Amino acid sequence: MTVISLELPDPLAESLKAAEAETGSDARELALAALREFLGEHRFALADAHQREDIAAALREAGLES
Amino acid sequence: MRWMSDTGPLLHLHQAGLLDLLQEKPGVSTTPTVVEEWRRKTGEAALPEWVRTETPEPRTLRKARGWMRQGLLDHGEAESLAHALATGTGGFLTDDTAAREFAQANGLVVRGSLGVLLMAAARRRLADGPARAAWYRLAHHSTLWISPALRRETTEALERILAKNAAGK
Repeated sequence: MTVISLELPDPLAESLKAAEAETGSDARELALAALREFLGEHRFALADAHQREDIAAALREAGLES
Repeated sequence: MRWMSDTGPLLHLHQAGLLDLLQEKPGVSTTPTVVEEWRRKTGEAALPEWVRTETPEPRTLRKARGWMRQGLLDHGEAESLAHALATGTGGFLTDDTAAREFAQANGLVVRGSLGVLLMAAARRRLADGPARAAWYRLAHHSTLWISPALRRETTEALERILAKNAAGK
């Protein structure tokens, strides 16, 4: 078992509190579930790819890429 | 082109104080479940009036429920995407990876919050200083996931766009 601690930006901390109230789960359970889902579905790489598409579209709009 | 949005871009742009970037003709629409999710997550009473709330047809809601049952999409994403497809909306706004893949596979043009911001800069709706401030707020004041590599790439792209805009004055 590995223990990690991290600082959450305020908006994320508020979202976590709201999710705790909504689901009845505690922050640890929610964080584990979110991490498991995100890593399991390789969403980091997919999110990067999607955001690169947005960057490319804006560069085309600006006439900087064809 | 008409745009339909799920909760992500409405939430992330609101958190960064950038919701007005969506205020383009012919405007942005969404669906009741997205409005409810947005209210719950922001604590705000209502979306701006220029975000139209459209109620999907029963058969559209059935399609959305089917996607949810299969575990493909969550409620707000499924409802807004099904409605976009049913009504011939050309564009879909989402920051969700699964919803984006699904929308693109169905032929929709898709943008996320980052794309909204960069497109506003590319179209000169944001001047130099406001564009940099907007990027800072989206990166630091919203819950949008942006990896360190993408933060660097976005900063570089924004610099190129702003330099082009300055050169074209």
